[in-house]
Amino acid sequence: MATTTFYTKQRCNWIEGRDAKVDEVMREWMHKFCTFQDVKICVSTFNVNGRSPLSVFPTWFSQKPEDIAEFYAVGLQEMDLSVGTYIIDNTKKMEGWVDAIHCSLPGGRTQFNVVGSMRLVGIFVIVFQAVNSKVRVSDVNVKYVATGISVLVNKLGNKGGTAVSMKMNDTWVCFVNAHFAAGNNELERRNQDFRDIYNDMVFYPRSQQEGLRDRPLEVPIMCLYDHDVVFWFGDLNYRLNTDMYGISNDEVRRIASSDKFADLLQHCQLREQMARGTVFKDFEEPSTLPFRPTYKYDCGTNTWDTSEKGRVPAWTDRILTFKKYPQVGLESIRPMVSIDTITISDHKPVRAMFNLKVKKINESGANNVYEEAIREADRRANEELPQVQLSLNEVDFGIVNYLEPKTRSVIVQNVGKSKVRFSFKVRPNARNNQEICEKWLMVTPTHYQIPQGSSMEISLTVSISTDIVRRIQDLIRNGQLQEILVLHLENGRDYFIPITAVYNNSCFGSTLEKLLSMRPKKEVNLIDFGDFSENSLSDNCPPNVPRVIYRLVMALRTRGAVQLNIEEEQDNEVFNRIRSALESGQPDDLSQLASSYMLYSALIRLLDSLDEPIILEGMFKIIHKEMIKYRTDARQLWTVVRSSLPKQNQAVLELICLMLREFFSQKYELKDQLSLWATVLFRHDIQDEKMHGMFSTILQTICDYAPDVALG
Amino acid sequence: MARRPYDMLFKLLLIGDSGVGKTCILYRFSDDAFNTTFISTIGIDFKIKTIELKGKKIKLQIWDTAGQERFHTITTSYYRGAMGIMLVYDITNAKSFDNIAKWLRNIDEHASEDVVKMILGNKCDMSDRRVVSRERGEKIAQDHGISFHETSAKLNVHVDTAFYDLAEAILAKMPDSTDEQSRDTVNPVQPQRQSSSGGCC
Ligand SMILES: Nc1nc2c(ncn2[C@@H]2O[C@H](COP(=O)(O)OP(=O)(O)OP(=O)(O)O)[C@@H](O)[C@H]2O)c(=O)[nH]1
Ligand SMILES: [Mg+2]
Repeated sequence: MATTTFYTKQRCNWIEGRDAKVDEVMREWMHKFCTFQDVKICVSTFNVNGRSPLSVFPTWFSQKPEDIAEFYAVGLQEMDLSVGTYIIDNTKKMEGWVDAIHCSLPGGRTQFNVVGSMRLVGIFVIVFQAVNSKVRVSDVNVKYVATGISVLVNKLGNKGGTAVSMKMNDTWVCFVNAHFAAGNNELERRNQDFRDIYNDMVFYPRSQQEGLRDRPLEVPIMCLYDHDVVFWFGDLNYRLNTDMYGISNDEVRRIASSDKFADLLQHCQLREQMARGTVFKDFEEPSTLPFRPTYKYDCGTNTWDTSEKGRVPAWTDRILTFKKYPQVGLESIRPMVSIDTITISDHKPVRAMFNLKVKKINESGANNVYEEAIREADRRANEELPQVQLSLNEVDFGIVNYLEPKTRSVIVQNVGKSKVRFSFKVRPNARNNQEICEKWLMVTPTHYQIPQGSSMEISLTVSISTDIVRRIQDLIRNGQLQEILVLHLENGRDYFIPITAVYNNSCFGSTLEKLLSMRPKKEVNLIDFGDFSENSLSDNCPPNVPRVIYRLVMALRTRGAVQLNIEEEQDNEVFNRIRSALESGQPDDLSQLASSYMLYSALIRLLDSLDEPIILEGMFKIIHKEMIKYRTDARQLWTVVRSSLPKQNQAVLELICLMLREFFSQKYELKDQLSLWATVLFRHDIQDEKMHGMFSTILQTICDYAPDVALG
Repeated sequence: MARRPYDMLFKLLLIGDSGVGKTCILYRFSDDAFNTTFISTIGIDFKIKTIELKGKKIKLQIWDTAGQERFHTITTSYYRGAMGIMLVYDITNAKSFDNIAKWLRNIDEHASEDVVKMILGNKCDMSDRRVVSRERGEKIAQDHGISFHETSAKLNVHVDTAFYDLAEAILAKMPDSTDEQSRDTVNPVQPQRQSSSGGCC
């Protein structure tokens, strides 16, 4: 046998199911390489209640010439109820029914051939084709799926489905006949029956095997949804929910017998479940059923069930259809009917007639179109990639100040062909590998969905908080704060957004040494004679205290504690004014510049933003020890604290303590501020309550005592 | 025997200095078009093109990267997963050629070890402004055992050739079809599998 390797054969042929995008194009272009043929298909379902058939049912199928179909598919349920059938395969009953159906077809048995049939105990499906039909039927496969109660290993087989799958020319068609769980309250089991049958009804058609045989990792099967068309019929056993609406059985029967029977359909469990999407997703049924409920009658009559159980009427017998894609030409061409004249069972048969446009693929035509379809599919794939336009390619924040957040926005406009979902990627190779950007930058939202044609604003905020300012020098590269955001579109490209900002060096976020060497720029002063004085206030500043701290403390002391209202609101504008006054040295005296509270909070922020706390880390342990030792000896405690600190820290601490002591004496309630000051000066973990209390106590002791010693 | 047309997806990457013509090369290959205005790529873009090679359909996913220096730390993180990399320089720009060594180092550091490399000297239509001779390009490629083409995205010179060559080199590295066949036959999850018989591509 000659084996053809793919290296010698250069052309690739189209085989459906390999690439969804190409298939989509091929489907749209089907007219270029397919011819279509109208084929009438008649489908009928009948729960025969275990009865033996009559020899013929002349009214089952319409005998009118215009109603004669090319294919007949019939599903029976309860074809055989005899106990034996559960154990022994009894074919006699089946043969009787096959004959009866065959003879009932228009023109009788000589006009039709059996295409295929499948039986699971009483669930039987059979498909006939007219002898004069020109449709080429191939790949006929049959299958059953048993659901319901398992006995030992095998399922009993009293519920389930049987199906015949086939190719009509090049259209895949499947006929599924099912019998779902009975009983008013078995809704969930019926749903499960559907799911089980739908899931397990898979076929292994030969031609697909050929087509897919080189997909080693994919099981080469045809599922129901792989068929172009599925007819699903049978005794689905869905009942009416009328009792939930307080409609009595008698009332239901009255309505069902009247002209208004269609009103009952709104209570149908199947309709309700389909509306919820629980079962039969993508299946269709005519919106109205133009016949009375097909269940349950006294056999031999058209009278509603008079037995003891007195069943509520219901449309248990149904015919639904599924189309693989919208272009499939399947139409219901006659109203669905039930055949009331057939009375042997407690159900009525239901019948429907469809026209299916069966396609025939011209192989060489398809392969010619295929090349073009691949290019078209590529073109569409590229075109459909998400696309956005950014209002800014990069964002420069200019100069940013401590605690003065600056916001810019970037508009993301969806200019693509579908909705886009975007998210900011955790920046590849970034130092902090969890975040999308450095902490000084805030981005909102970090992910979102934008409908086609819409746009959305992303807000970017640079905010130099205390945390950040303490390590600002580590963050600055080439004199700038720099970051690159990576905006990722789901299933698409990434956009880079470079962000820059220049941090305005400030007395905030500095070190004591730097503050000490900071000199105000005096030149402005020379012009303004009014304010000019040889001896400005800060000239009295002790050598080891930074002027900015001294000026704030002195301004606060000048104003006095009584003016300090700690309930006041924080005002950023005022804060910025204080900051620039501190930095420019103008005015030297800050006492008239802002409220006591704003000066007070500026002082706290200033100390809090220092790279290190005034009472240096690592002093904790020493102080703690001394604290225990000299609990009552404040002088000793003070000496220890003091001697453990560098000169400038000592000096600042003394100044602060002096101020606090003064304040507490002027306004007793301010003692509540001790714990805040402890946090600022020790900068310990405020979560740790025990430590926190201790630091407040230390500070209190120091305040009460220190100034006498140091500044006396 | 039948092949699944898209059973292969090759991820390719275009790298090189800003302005050498990466985006234009991709645009020429995917859309057969050219644009003279320079819009520097600020990010990572990709396009898809299906090609036929040795009777197989191969879907190429081609990633175009930003060439600007400031993005280098980010763009290198996209190298992983690329099966082929096209390193582009501009024959009218000596600096872009000098940087080849740096780009090759980047590949060594960040791309997977078995990535297939190719060097392209682009803008070969501008012979009057050429500063890098064809020989120098060939030499550096040869030194590194990499294939080389001079291309012009503008005049569509060797652009297709370059992509097909790169794809073919990747294909040549793949385990060949006989391996796949043996994998087929031992796979137990496939009942009713037909034994190997003739078929199309
Ligand atoms: N003459 C000529 N010009 C070209 C050619 N290829 C690209 N150009 C021009 O070179 C410029 C840059 O091309 P791009 O493709 O945008 O460059 P790039 O490599 O993508 O640059 P980045 O996106 O910044 O990395 C554009 O103005 C193009 O028109 C070519 O083959 N010949
Ligand atoms: Mg580019």
